[in-house]
Amino acid sequence: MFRPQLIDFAPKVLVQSSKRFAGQYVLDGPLPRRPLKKIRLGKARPAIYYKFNCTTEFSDGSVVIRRSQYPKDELRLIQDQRNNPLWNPHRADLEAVDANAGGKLEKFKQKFASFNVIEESELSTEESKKEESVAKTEVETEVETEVKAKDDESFLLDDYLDLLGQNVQDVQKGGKLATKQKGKKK
Amino acid sequence: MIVLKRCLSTASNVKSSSQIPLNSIKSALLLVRQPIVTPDLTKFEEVYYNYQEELERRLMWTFPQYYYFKKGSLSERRFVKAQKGPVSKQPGVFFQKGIPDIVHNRERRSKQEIIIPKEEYDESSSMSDFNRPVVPNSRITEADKTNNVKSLERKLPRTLHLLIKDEKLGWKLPSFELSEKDKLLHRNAEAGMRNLGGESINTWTVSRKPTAVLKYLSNKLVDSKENSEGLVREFIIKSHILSGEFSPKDIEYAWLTKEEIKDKVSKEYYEATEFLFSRV
Repeated sequence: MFRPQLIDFAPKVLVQSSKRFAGQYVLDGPLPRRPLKKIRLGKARPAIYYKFNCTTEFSDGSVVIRRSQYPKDELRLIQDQRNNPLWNPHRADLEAVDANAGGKLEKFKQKFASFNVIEESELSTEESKKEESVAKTEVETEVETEVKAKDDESFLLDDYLDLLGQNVQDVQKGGKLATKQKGKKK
Repeated sequence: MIVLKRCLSTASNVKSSSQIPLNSIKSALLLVRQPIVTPDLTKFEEVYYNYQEELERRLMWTFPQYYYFKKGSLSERRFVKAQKGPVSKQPGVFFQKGIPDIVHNRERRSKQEIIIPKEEYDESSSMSDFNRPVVPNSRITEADKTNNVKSLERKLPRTLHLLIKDEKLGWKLPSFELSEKDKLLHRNAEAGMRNLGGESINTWTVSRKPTAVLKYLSNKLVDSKENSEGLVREFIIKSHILSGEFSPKDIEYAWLTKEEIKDKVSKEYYEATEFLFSRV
């Protein structure tokens, strides 16, 4: 359905301009295969951004040369793969440095640590698992305590949820939300 | 003695193959240190890479100074001051090297050379450790200069192989006898290597399967097709040294490249093991 329309449109342009474009190509189809600009001899050049050869020193003292667009030709890294415990599992002297320590997320976690319900429940299940491994014979009592613990949790959760529902007012979703104030015209 | 029984086979057992004495099997180790830096370039390669580099520099776009330096800022002023400005076109002046073609303060007929402003390095200042210039390390190390074959930091662009000197057989790959406790070849080779060179070594064994077999008949290397009785077989396990220190106490050893191995070991031994050593 769309194709005939395009073909109808294209010849009009051709008739108006009647130009020959790059190479011996004459525009007769719907779309040109090359940009509508004559590429003169020696005028075609690849897109290469300006790049610096940056001598980079890693934390262990080794130096490599990197290509970079950033205007810097010397770089000294403090934290990299050479002193990261993830890539150096055999080295005991390394400590994992958390990049987000002291950041927003950490502050949030500190502030709202007491509300972290999910983690606590996980902890309790872990504890119950430990108990299981200690005393396998008392299976039935164990199950009972687990059920109890779960009940407690759900009870606590329900309590909070109940609180959430207090003093709720329905939000007006439709209808007239605000009326335009009319200026006094006289 | 290992007793191999083919319980489910219908054919009658041949006596020689059913009982193999444990001391007729040995595990040998091909411990390799991979190259640390890129290989040395030949003259032709050097010229080729230089040409490609220059070509790319010539085709690069003009450095977008406005993007990295805010107009009117101190850093911009410092940057502009460091640049060598191009010669601009003047009316009525003859330019010997052609008329300058300048756009955005750049001579378009040649590659653009950007100079990055640097502060003078002061060794006595408190920040000297951070500000010291980044200088690439030498490809020739101390061990190369003194020709210390026991060092792992020699011949950085080449692969090194561990060889030890045996009293009877001369220079060869280290080999270890199988014990009743450690019958697996790769485990035995690893344990033997730790026995030799100490615990402070990090290695990675490529496979449980051996890379090659050497056959000895009364302490003499024989052809690989030899199949007489009393043969001692050395199964060579390949392993890489990743980090750590190889420091044996009372044996003579060397980390050698392929060419050096050829000079050190006997002719037959080199012919039998040549394919194991890396050319790079």
